[in-house]
Parts: sequence; structure tokens; C-alpha cells
Amino acid sequence: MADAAGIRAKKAPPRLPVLRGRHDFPEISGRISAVVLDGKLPRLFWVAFFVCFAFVLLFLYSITYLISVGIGAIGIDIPVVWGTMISNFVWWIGIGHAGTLISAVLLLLRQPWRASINRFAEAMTLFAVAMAGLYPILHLGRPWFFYWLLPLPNTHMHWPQWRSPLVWDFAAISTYATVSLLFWYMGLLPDLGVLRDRAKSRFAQLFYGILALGWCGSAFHWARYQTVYFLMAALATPLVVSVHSIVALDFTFAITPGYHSTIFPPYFVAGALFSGFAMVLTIAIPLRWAFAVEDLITLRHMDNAAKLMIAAGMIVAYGYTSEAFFAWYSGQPYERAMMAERAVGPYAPLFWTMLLCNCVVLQLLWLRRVRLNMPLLFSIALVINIGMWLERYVIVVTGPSRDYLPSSWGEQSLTWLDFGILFGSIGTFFALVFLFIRILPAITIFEVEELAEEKGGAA
Amino acid sequence: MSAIADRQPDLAALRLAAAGREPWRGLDELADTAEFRRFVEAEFPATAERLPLSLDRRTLLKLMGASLSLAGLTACSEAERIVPYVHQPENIIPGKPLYYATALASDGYGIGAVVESHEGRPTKIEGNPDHPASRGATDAVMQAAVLSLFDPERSRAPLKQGEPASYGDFLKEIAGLAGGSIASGGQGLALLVEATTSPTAKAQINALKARYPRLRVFRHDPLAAGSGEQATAKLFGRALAPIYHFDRADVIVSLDADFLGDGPGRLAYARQFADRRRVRKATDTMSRLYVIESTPTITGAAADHRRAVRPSAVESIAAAIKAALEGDNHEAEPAWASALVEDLRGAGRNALVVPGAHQTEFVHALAFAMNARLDAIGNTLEFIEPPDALGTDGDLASLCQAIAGRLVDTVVVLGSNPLHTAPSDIDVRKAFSDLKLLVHWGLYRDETAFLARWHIPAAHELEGWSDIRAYDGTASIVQPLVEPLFGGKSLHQLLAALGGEFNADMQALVRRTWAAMDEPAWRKALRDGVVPNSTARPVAVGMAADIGAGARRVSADGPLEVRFVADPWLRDGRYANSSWLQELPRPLSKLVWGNVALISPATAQRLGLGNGRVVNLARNGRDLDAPVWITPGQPDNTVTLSLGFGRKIGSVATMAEGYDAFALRTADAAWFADGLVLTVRDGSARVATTQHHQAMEGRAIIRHATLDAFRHDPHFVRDGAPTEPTESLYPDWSYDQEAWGMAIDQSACIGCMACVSACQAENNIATVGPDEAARGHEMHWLRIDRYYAGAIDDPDIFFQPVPCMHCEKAPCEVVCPVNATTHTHDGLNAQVYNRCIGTRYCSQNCPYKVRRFNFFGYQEFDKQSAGPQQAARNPDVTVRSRGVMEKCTYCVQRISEKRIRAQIENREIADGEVVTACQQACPTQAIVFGDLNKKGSGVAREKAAPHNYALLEELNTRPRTTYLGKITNPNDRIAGKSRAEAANG
Amino acid sequence: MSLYGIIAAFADPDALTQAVSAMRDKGYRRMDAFSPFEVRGLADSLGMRKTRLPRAVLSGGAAGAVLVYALILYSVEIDYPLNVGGRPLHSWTPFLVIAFEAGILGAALAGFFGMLWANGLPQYYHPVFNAATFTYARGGKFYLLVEAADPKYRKGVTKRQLTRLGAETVEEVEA
Repeated sequence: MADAAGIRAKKAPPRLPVLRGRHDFPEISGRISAVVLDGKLPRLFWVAFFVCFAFVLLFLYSITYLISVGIGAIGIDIPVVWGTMISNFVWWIGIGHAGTLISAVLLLLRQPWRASINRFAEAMTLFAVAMAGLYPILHLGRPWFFYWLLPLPNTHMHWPQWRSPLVWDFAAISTYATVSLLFWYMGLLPDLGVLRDRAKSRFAQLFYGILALGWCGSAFHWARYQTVYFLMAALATPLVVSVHSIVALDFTFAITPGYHSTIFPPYFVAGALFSGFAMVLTIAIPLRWAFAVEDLITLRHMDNAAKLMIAAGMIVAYGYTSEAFFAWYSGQPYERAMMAERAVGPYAPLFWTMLLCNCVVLQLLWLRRVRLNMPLLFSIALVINIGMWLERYVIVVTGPSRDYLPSSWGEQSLTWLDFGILFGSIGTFFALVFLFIRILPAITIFEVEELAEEKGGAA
Repeated sequence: MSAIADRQPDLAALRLAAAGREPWRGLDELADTAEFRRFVEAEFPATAERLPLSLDRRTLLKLMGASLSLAGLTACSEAERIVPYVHQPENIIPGKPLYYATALASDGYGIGAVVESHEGRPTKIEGNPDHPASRGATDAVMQAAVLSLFDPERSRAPLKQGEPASYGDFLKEIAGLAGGSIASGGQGLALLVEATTSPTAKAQINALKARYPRLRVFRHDPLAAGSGEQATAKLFGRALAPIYHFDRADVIVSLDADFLGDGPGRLAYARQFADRRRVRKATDTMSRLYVIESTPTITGAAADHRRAVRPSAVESIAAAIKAALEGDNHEAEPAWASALVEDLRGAGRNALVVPGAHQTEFVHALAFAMNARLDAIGNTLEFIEPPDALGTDGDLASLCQAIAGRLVDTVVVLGSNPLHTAPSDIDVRKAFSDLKLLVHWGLYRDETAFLARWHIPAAHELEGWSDIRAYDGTASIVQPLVEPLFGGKSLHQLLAALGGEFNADMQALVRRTWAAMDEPAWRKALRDGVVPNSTARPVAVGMAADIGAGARRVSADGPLEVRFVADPWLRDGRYANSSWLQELPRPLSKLVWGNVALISPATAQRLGLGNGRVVNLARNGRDLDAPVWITPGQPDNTVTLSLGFGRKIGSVATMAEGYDAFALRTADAAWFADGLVLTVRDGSARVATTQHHQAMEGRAIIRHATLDAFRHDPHFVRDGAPTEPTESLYPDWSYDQEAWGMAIDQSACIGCMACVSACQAENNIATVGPDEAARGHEMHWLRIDRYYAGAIDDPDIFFQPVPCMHCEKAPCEVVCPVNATTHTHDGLNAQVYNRCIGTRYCSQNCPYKVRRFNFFGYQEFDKQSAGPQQAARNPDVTVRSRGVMEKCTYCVQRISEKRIRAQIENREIADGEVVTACQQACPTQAIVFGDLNKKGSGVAREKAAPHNYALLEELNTRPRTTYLGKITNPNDRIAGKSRAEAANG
Repeated sequence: MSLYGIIAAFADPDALTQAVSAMRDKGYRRMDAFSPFEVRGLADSLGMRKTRLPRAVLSGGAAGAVLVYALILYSVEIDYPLNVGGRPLHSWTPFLVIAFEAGILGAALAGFFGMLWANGLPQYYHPVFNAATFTYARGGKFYLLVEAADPKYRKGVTKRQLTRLGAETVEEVEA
């Protein structure tokens, strides 16, 4: 523990502690579990929840409409047969990644400041992946046959076509979802024990008791638990990189101009973290304010997240540049024309807005004042979320809309359904986050206690 | 009364009268028709005179019995005898189609066809190789005949003042009329006929004239232009029809003539034209085509030199050329004309000057005079008796005058729809409302039918017996493929009825005309689809010295001129209810489901107009609103309007956007006129097009060169084009059986769209309607890309048919997650519909964008709601459901059929045995399909040509479909074309 | 009403750790310690054998990858060979991607369920919960439990030893 403390001492300037004030363990576990057990939530919480629920209904309606009428109801056409479904998918997957990064990578790097935010970051991952997982299915012309991507015996005696990036996607996404779930549940085990022991109502005791699997904090358990937890983190890290690289390969693999670019995998991963941290901030800032846990989720966390955002954002900006450069450097007329069209063609407004959101606004974060100004940081995070969605949409549509034969050039025009499904999924995502906050501890009790202990805060 | 005179019982008529009626309701209707009385006379002579007009109970019972038995007769109508092209009808094998030869009418002229019939359902029209006007080819409109045959909106029953009535009642009324006319010699009786070349129809009409001396026959044919006839009448003393021989012509000058796209001889002419321009090696020669035209046409697109001039200017230019041709100084104005004249002189007998059918009489005179001067008459140009000659008492206008003058009180309209197609300065409605009796015979209950007292459903040309002559006079027998679906009557039956022959049998009426033929000859004529040596002999003509003078003078630039053209597919609007034709892109504009006003870029700039902007066009106090469409190659200050749209009747026709150009058309200026006033309206209209981008962006897509450049470098397609990768990362698959491939000759392709229409008919391709088409959801497997190059006012126009390339290293297959598109053993890029889940990744990854997706359920699977038109579907091709991808299959069903036959006969598939639908329809034989593994096969030979190249070959997709670079033959004395030298894209 | 053992509560991890080592020096072997979070090194001083879970994870990963690659190979080479875009039947590069993902999945599953199995979870009864002073969550104390089954266990003696080691409370636990 000494070295961990040492790292902390180096990493954390005294002005921005990971944990503010002195806490003893009962107080920590009490405060955190109170949110769940007593269920005394601010009215604002419920207002927000029901707003989101309205969007859940919109989501359900849109999906029903889509499946009963046909995929033509969204603004796709020949040549641009991919549209918002794909950009939404990539966007959500990206958002998921920050969660895994915080929980896994920072764990491996023994970053103490992850402790109080990793739980909801992982939850965020889970829900984001859930949203993302829907899109490739809704995107299909015949969604009810999506399971043909699995190597199941079927009426056609066929196998999946293993060379298709979509099959890799299927493997990657399902693996990612499973691993994230296991990792998240494993992290929850000790805290479920806490809730079990603190629960007053019989139902709560049974509910959390069953989920806790009889965890009692035995030293032997702890030892094995930590070993595997670290191993899982070690697995999740390459996984998270592979998942978004594979998503990027959906594009790279295609010969369409603007898709066919080897820079995509790394630059998509960076983009994923970029948007992911934006989403972490979008959730954390209101959360810590609404539940008055500024002393557990401190400015230090916000500051670090913001710094990571700059880092990722600059890589993304580099990605844009090299994409443009290599389009020119390749000497391919098709790539060049596509890039030019992106800048001046029908999708130019989206393109420039994207650059504004993702590259220009980002630069504000160099200023410490900005990083520590929560309302401002929050709005920047929102802007970046929008910018990253635009990035994905621009990538998806501009290539095919200006591909090899000018005779088939054309644009797509979005319909209400494109937006219904996008905003529906956003609402559903936040509704899930709210439910999670209501029934599970949003902050990892045992790690915060450990933190407090290392800080010598134990009474 | 002769109607009563023929004694034999009119079973046919009675059967018809009782057709589809319950005996009880049928009773009284049957009882008091003329035929019934005659029937009873014949069957029960005793009771005949005792047959009272008011029925007592006992008679009633008798009649009930009778009518019951009559009602029964409807069941046992014996089928017409029709003779198969290759098989006898009795050996119908389910699943094995039969082919029957017939001919389809195009503006009254016949084009030979071979109709594929599955268990009695005509499903596909092919050209008849033995027929001079077809030579195996079809056009887009012919392909759609099967769809119009099964059109559920065809009129299904005779209508009396709009109420369903019995044909018997009609015959009764006609009988009365006939009786009266016999007495009056046909006083007040008038026929309004369309252009027809049917010997039977002519014979019948002449018989009627003989029968009723005062009968008047008028001809209304909105798309006919009389100036040619008038010119020949003046020059040669009698009206003659010109026959061109483009295969003999070295230099062709078209004076606003769209001989490749319009006119009854277009398919034959296109074939001759292409044959004379087929270049494979440096020693080959080709003809040169100059086109002077007033609106862009596919003929202009095929030209080596094209000049866009206002319609009124053609006359003066023609005159200038003629002057230069006859004068000693070859210097003509404008400058390019002198080079042209040089060429004409050089070609001598092998030159040909073609006047546009709609151009003035004087232009025709000039053209014929020039041909005479060049001694071309008898070589590249011949004259025959016009096949559609028919002594008439004038046109629609004179009919209306006659009605106004109370000379006519009864009109029988045969086929045409004057209320929609009349010039706007003739008030047909008013005239027809004054009539005592108006009878309309037609396929649809159209505008005229609504006004008529009697509407009689016509038998579709695939339902009835008739005969028809081709552009060169060759006669064909039109034999039905099915019994009339909706009880339609043939033209001949109606004419016969007017002659008092009520129970005329369709076939007998036609057979009578050809009584000279004995039975074997008759059967042979049916089998071959042509009547042997019925082709018209060319007549020797002596040129009159004085060819008259131009009536009209060129109006100086300023007032807009209007040019009327018939929509290439809907013609005068008669095919407006065919979704295939509505959704078939127009050859040059690529517009679907609507018409526009074409204007030149310069004019648009001057008026500050953009595509789709609605303008008001007014002339002589009449006006219409239309969206403008900026068209490169359109002459300045000229607005082209197309006829055929703006229909108010028919669910498909009314779905289309567009205006009715007849509203602006006047009798004196049927095809072009000046004094058009254009005022810009606010707002614009949606115009659906299937191609949004017109330039090749400097990409080597259509590679072209001049003949000289080709001779000097046969491999010009390689110049400046990205080099083809020689190897692939992957080992090649071997195709040890067939390796199907296709070669498309871009020099031969004239962009006529026949292949696209044929593909639609063959492969059950859905139509999606205007809204979906505007969203880029159209489904055609084969498209013809049209590119402009060069100056926007005088562009080079290129066509490129783009089917699936069937790449050996197909990018689409690798990305499909479910193996829904894979390669077959013979190298087809197969699409497995029932396997497809619609990720659309394949289309995303197709560099040629030839894949089409069922964004919605475009095809109706429910038998009830699908209606009769599902009968037109090809049973050999799967109908695709919602959410699956589809694309060109190289007509895999045809390949399998031939393979099965070959395997049964234990032999290899012969070269040229498998013919794809597009290839079969192509009038210029631009498409060659076959087995690349077979040495010396047609397709292998084409691909061996030096200017064969693959589209986007630098992507190393290894396409099986390749193209032959386009070779043009411009006159190097005319500047401006030099840029075309080996310019790729 | 048999006796399971006695449990002593300590105020902080250090006290617990010292107590554990002290008791082990005294020869006690059947002991267990409980804490609200991991006290590093505690398990070792309790004499826990090195866990074999890492090996389980590794083999799980290997199994996943190999099985899936074998399945793919069988499907493209033996069961349904098909010319897809002219690519070789055995296109190992794409197949590796899927095998990799399968490997991760196998490893994660092996790790998670291995951990549960090794810890004997789920386990819905444990005598330690019978101790009034023991609470995993509320007290935030650190506990040492000496089983009655331990050979060196003497009722009074052990209790005194624990108290001497600074236990706040010492209590007997019913089985």
C-alpha cells in the first residue's frame, strides 16, 4: 500500500485531493448506501427520470414503426445505404469505452482517483454498449434474422461469412458486453454485501443478499478476488482497444473512398475515449452536485478527466489531419475528390461544425480555470458529444455519397425516424443510468474506504 | 334488312350478351335484343312471329328456360386457334414457355415480336429476327405491352352513358343505326380513326364507304406529321414514304431527324446505323453522322458533329447547305457547313440527308432535293407507297367543322382519345356534346369515353386478331396470345358490326383479307410473323425541278420558341398508366414520373432559372405551368415540352407529376412555334431524376477517341488511364466449366433504354412510384449512365450501360456477413435472396453501385391485392421481399434453362445459346454475352479487341463485364472536336 | 448448538495483521480474517496457498481461441467450401480477429467463475454472521476468527490471547 500511497502523493497535488475531508468507514458506506436504501432522492431526480422515460417511449414507438414499415423509413438510399444507424452505433460504442478505460486501465496503473468514479463509469459502459448493440440489428433490412450472424445450424445449412467485418463486430460487441458485465458485477460484489447488511426491509435484504452471493469479506476471498479483478482488467484493456479497432475496420475494410484508410483503428480508439470522457463528465458533474458527493467525486477527478479529454482530442485532431493528408498523398483521384467534397460539398456544414466542436472548442481545456469551472466543463463535454456524433455521421455518409462513378453520386435526407431513434436511445440510456443510481451504489464503497484508510482517515 | 337477312343463329353475340350474367337478371335483357329475336326466329321459327313484346307467364317461363341454357353457353366457348412459333400448342409442358410470333403496333406501324407465354400467360416480349422492323430487337414501349395487357384499370365492360351495359344492347343500337344509314347512305355518320396500316381495317373501311356512300372518315393522330407526305406529293406527284438505308451511307446529315429514337423504322435504322460504324481493327471504316437538331435526342448524342439550332432555323440552314451543295463555291455559312458539304460531295451516292418528320414541308423538299442531287435516291434513300395511306376526309379539325355544320351527328371514335390529345384551339368537347350519338372504342375509359354515349372496351393487341404493316410495308399477322381478358372487341369486329355483321369472328375477319393465302401459307405466315414478299417495292421517282420555297422565315433571337416532342415512352399519353414506362428514365434527362420544360443553360442563366423552378409558359392566350430543366445541348431560347403527361385518369397516370403539353399545342403549330411567353413563378416543383451528377470528373469512365486516333493507337483506352494491377494478393480461382462474361460496345450503344425495360420485364423488377424514385430508391438492375463532356452549350453526350460487373474479386461478397452473395462455379456473382438479411454492406462496398435494395415491400405477395398484373411476372425469377438486396444476375434463369437443355442433350452449351434480356432487346447489338472459356466465342472475340477495357480496373475487382471504348468519326476540318482525341473521360 | 469458533474485532487493519501473525506464531492454523476491503498481505500471513486462478484464466483464453478457430476452419474447409469474392478458403487473417475475441471471452469467463468456485461462492450461510459483534458493513471493524476445530484451540486461553493482542471485543460464534 505504501507504493500506491507514494504514487498518489506524486499524482495528486495537495490542492486537489482525491478525497476531501476525513471519513470513517461507517460514514462512507452509510452515505453511499443511503442513496440506495433510504431512496431519499431529490425531486429533480424523478423529474429527470420521467423526462427520460418519455424518450424511452419515443424509442419504443420508433423501433416498432421501423420494424413494421421497413428500413426505408430512415433517410437511406442508393448510394448512401448506411446512415444514422451506423453512426449511432459507433458513437455509443465509443462512449462505452471510457468506462472500461477508467475501471480497467486506471486500475492497472493503480490510479487511486478512479475509485469513486469507476462504478458509474462501468455502468455507463454497460448501458452504452446495450444501446450500441441495438443499432446493428435495427439497421438490418430483415432485423428478425440477425441471429444468422451466429454459427448456428439454420435452414440454409450455411455458416456466417467469417471474412466480413460485421461478423467480427458481432463477436467483438458480444464479448465486450459480456466482459463488461462480469467486470462490473464483480466490482459490485463487496458493495452488495454492504447493502445486504445495511438493508432494513426484508425485500432489500433478500434482493441484495442473493446478489451478494454470500460475500463476507474473508481475507482468502479478498485475495483471490483481487487477483482475478486485476486479471480481468488486464483482459479488458486489449479488448477495449480491439473492439473499437474492429468497428473501425467496418470502414477500413471497404474500398469506398473515405472508408478505405488504415489510420482508422487507432484514430477511432482515440475518438472513443474522447467521446467517452465527454460522457463521463456529462454524467458525473450533475451527479456529484445533485447528491452532494463533491467530497468523494472531487475536482481532481473532473480535472483529470478533462486532461484525458485533451489528450484523446488532440489525437483525434491529428487523425483528421492525417486522413486529409493521406487522401492527398495517395494521389488517388477518388480519395482526393471525396475529401474535397467533404469540405465544400453538401455535407460541408456538418464537417466544419464537427471540426469546431472537436478541435476548436477543445482547446479551452488547456486552461485550468476552465477545467475547474463545472458549468463550463459540462457544456464543453456536451459540445464534444455532439461533435463526435457528427464525426461518425460525416464519415459514414460522405464516402458513399461521392464514390467512384459520378453517375451514382447522391445524398441522403434524414427523416423524423432517424432522430426519433437517436434521441430515443439517448433517453433510454439516461433512464437506465437513473435506475442504476437508484438501486445500486454509484460509488464503490470498499475502494473509497480503502482510499480513506490509506489516507489514514480511519477513526 | 341485312342485319336480319343473315339467318344463322348468332350464338357468339348471344354468348357475349349472356356473358357473366346470372340468368335471372339476364332474362329480360336477353329477351328483347335484336339477336335474341333473330335467335328465336332461327331456333324456333314457329314461335318467332308469336313472340310478343309484353311477355305472358308461359312465354316468360319459356324464355327463362332459353336464357338459362344460353347462360350455360358462356361456359363452352371454344378457344381461338393460334399457332405457336416453334411448338404446337397441344404439347404445352408446364414450366416450359411457348413462343408466338405477332407484331405490336407503334404509331400504327408494326414491329415484329415474339411473345413468351407461360401456360397461356404472355410474360415477355422479344423481337422477331425475321421481321424487318425488329430484326430481333425491341424497344422500351414494346416491353411494357405485357404490363398494359394485365392492367386492372383497362375498361372491363361496355358502358352506356357510363353505366355497364351489354354488348348486345350496343349491337342492337348499331343495328338500328346501320339500318338507318343504309337508307340515308351513311348521312351524318363519321368515323374517327387513328393512323393504321392494317390491310383488314382499310378493306373494312372501304367496304363501309361503299356501303354508306355518305360516310365520312376522319383521321386523328396527334403524333403524325403530314409534311413528308405533302412534300413528296408536291415533288413526285404522289404521296410517298421514304425508306433509308443507313448501312449504305458513308455520310449522314440529319435535319432535326431523330431516326434512332423515333419513327416506325427506328429499330431497323439503329441496327443499320450501328452495323456501319462497328470498328474492331485499324482497317475498319465507319460512317459519319452530322445532326442539326432543335432539341437533344439520342440521334444527336450518337452524332459525330451535332449542332443545336432553334427549330425554325433548321429550314434556313438546310437551304444554305443545299445552296452550297449546288453552287460552285463550297463556302457555305456557317463555316462548319462548308466542311459538311465537302463530305457530302465526297460521299456522293453514299451520302444521305434525312429530314425530321415534324419539320416543315420545305425542309423535306430540300432534303430530298439534296439526296437527288447526290444521286443517293435509289441507294441510301428509296420511296415506297405509304403503308398507312388511307383516303380520309380530313383530320380532327375538319371533323369538328363538319359537326358544327350539322353534316355529322354520329361519330364512332376508334382508338384515339381526342378529348385529351386534340390541339388546344379545337374544342372537341363542345363539338362532341352536340352529337346525336358518340361511340368510343378504346382500351381505357378515358376522357373521350366519359363523354361518349357508348364506350366499347378494345381488345389489347395481345388479345385480338389483326394484321399490320411495318415501316417498309412488310405485313404481319397479329395473333392473340390470350382470349380477351375483359371481353374486349377488336377494331375489326367493331367495323364489321357497323357493316351489319354482328357476330363477326375476329380471326375470320382477318383471314378474309388474306384469302389469297392457302392454309399452309397462312400457318407459315403466322409462324414466321411476316407475310412473305409483302414488302413494298420501291417506286422510281422523278424529281421536280421546282421544290417550292420556305413558308416560314427564321424568327430572330428574342421571343422564345416552343418545341413539342412526344414523351419517348408515354407517346401521346396512351401508355401513361404503365408504371414500367413512367419509371423508366428518359434517355437524356434521366427523369422519371413527370415531364419538364427543357431550356438551355444560357437561357436559364439569362432568365435566372434553376432546375425545378416553376415557370408559366403562355402562347396565344393559353398557358401552363411547368418546372424547367436545364439541358446541355438544348438550343438557346427554345423550350421543349413533352406530350403524354398531365393525365387526369388512371391511378398510375395520375400519380405522376407533370403538365399536359396539349394545352399549349395548336393545330397550325403542332410541333414547334414561336411567340412563347415565359414568366417565372415563385417556388419550384419536385423533379425526380435517377442521375444527379452529369460530368465524369476527369475519370477514365467512358474512354473514347476519334477513328484517326484509334487507327494510330488502337490501345487508346490505356492512354492516361490508371494502369491495371497485374496481380492479386490472392491465388486465382479456376473456372473449369463456363466463365460467363459480357462485353458492351459503347460505340454502338445509342442509349435507347430498351435493355433497361427488357431487364425489368425479364427479372420482375419492382416499380417504386414517384416518391420513392425521388428518394433514390429506384430498383432497375441495369442503368444507362449519361455523361456530358466539353462545352456545356454544345456537349459531347455519352451513354454507358452499367449492369453488375460480376467481379471475380467481388468486393461485395467479402463483406457480406451471411454468405448471401457468393460466387458460382461459372463465375457469376450470385445473390441469394432468402439468405440476405439486409446489412447493405455489399452495396456500400460496390464501386459501381449496381446493387438495389428493397427499402420497403415493393412487391405485392398477397394474391388478392396483387391483382391481374402479377400474371405478367416471369415465373422463372424470384419475386424479392422487403429488406433484401438484389442486382443483375446475368439472367441466371436463362443460363440454367440452357444448361439443363444442354445436359439433357449431353452437349456443351453452344456459343450464343444463352442470350441475356438486355442483349436480346438491344437494337444495335451493343451487348455481347457468352462463355469466356470457349475459344472464339463472340464475347471472347469482343474482349480481344484492342479498345476493350474494364470499368475502374485499377481497383483490381476483375470485372467479367467489360467495355469497348467509344470511337467517333468527326471531320477534322471542323474545329472543336480535336479535344476528343483520345481524351479519356 | 455447537461452537464454531471465537471472533475478535480490531480497530484497524494494522492491528489485525499483527494479531494474525502473532496467532500464527502461537501455532494457530484454522483462522480467518474479515475486512470491509482487502488488507494486503493478510491472506499470506494467514498461510494461504498461492492461487492457481491465473493459470485458469490463461487456459480459458487459449481454449476459447483455439475452439473458435477450429470451428471456422471446419466450416470453410470441410463443411461448406465456397468461393467468396475470390478469396482463399483459409483466409487466416480475418479468422484471427474472431479467434482473438473468443480468447478474451474464454479468459474472462474462466476468471470470473474460477474465482467464484475457489471462494466457494455463492454461499448463503456462514457461521460468522451469527456473531453479534460481526458486521461486514456497518461497524467498519476488522475481525479475526479462530475456529474451534483448530487443534490449539482452548476456550479461555485463546480468548485471553486475543484480548491481549488488542481485540476490542471477543465473542464466541455458534456454528
